[in-house]
Amino acid sequence: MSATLVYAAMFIYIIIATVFAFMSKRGMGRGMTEYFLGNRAMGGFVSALTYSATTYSAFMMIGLAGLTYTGGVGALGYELLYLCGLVLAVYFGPRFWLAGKKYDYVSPTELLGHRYDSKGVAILTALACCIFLIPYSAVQLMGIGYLMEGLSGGTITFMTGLIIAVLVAVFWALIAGLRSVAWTDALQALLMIVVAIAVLLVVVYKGLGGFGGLFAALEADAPSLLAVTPKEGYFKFSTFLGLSLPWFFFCISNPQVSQRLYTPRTLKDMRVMLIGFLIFGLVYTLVSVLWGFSARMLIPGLSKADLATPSLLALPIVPMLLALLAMVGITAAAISTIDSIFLTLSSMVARDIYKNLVPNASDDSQLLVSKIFIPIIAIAAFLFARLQLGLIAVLSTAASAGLLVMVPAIFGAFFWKKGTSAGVIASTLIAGGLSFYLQFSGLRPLGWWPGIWAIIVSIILFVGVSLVTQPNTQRAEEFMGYVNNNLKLHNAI
Amino acid sequence: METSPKTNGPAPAPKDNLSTARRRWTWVFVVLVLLAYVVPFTVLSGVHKIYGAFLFWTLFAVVSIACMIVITGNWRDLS
Repeated sequence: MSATLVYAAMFIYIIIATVFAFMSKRGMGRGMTEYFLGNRAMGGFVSALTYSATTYSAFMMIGLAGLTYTGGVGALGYELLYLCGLVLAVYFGPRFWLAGKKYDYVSPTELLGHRYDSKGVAILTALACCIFLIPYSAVQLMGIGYLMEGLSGGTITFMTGLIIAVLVAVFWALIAGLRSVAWTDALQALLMIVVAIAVLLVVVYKGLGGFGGLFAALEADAPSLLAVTPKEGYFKFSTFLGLSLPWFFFCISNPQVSQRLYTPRTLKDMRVMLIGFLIFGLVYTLVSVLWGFSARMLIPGLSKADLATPSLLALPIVPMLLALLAMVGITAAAISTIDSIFLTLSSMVARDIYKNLVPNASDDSQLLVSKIFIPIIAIAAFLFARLQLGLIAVLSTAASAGLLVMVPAIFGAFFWKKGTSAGVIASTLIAGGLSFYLQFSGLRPLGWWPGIWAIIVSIILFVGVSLVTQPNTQRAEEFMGYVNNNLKLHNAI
Repeated sequence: METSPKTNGPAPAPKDNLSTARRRWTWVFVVLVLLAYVVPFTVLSGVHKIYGAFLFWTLFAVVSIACMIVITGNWRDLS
């Protein structure tokens, strides 16, 4: 691909999305709630698309396709179990939404701090999110750098890709906060899914004679990819469980998506958001997995699984324009995840750290702090990505397992009056530390993955420490009473 | 503060009914997720066909999504 073409494609994509970002500013008010939650008035359709774009990063078309290439159908099960973990949003969505409106929460960790009546809980959980999610963003940035360098045949260097991604993500986040992120996400989600489907159809019909041909080839040439066995193969049961369990809780453990539970205008809009995402996710997952299977049939013997997608796009049967659009689509998938993380983390810094340290901080000063921190967080991610340290990969992999340690506290907030702030702090600190240690050391006690240990230890610590410390019963009863009474009015289970 | 529900909607569900529904749906999803972990690794581990684990997990997702559509279909907004 020529440099001009690649830059032209990126330029057009950035300009169109920027126009969307500025359009989203119309009618925008002031304040933290407006900036980070779209004034809690987001419509269902845009919410569904931005939820999809935020959730699905470049991992799907690169990582999941690669996992399928190497491990086969287990990749489908793992990703669909994640998708079905959205049932937690069906339970927790109305609860977050009701509590968010009543107590004016902006960040998910603010809910924990208030419910457990502890500034320490808010500060600690917000810091934990930053510690895990900044390296996660760095890996996303590195992904964009490598992808643009690889797909452009070196026309765009790793560093240029990195700089473009950071500048664009910060710019879109700063224009109008959630509004600009949501609108650019919506555009990007459509681009991601349309391009992914188009590439799949071209590859399957031109390369394998249709889906019947793909399935027949799989059954004949690589039957082992179509089954999983408990103790053999890439997806043996312990690996499958270790990978899928942390992701099952993703929709409540990852703040950049749980914050979205505050944003719909009505519960009907939340329903559209969730159903829209589920349909998008099912299609996108199937398409990504079929990309991986197609690559395995058309280009067997690749040295690295992550090469499956770039190699697929480099096939002569894929028109250059489509390959170019695919590069933009995958870049869009990564940027739409990163800008949402920048936005959410900056809201946590302002709301959970700054506001708790400076109690009289006005709404305007919180907003100013968060706007200052959007580029600071981006620079931190950029510097991590630039260093290309092995430690970043460890932290990033630990992110999904590490964020799991807050899940018992989130359950406790809505379902257990005896949960205490000491329980939250102990479970977050110790289980989070353990998760990082296991990830870093590569230890697998009893053969179980860090995520499994993280959830077990955090449950034990949260329950155990809570039982021997004094809960704030008045706060718990007031909070849970309000939520439960209103759930009844809204007929939500 | 919340106001009364729309008059054209069904009456507010008694809390006990919601608790029962919550328990029932929780069990439905516990069973679904357990099946998603167990069946492909046991019954279907020897089926090297597209109608094996691939079809099973796809159907599992479709059924789960259908259940979520039904649950959220009961949600209602207040006027």
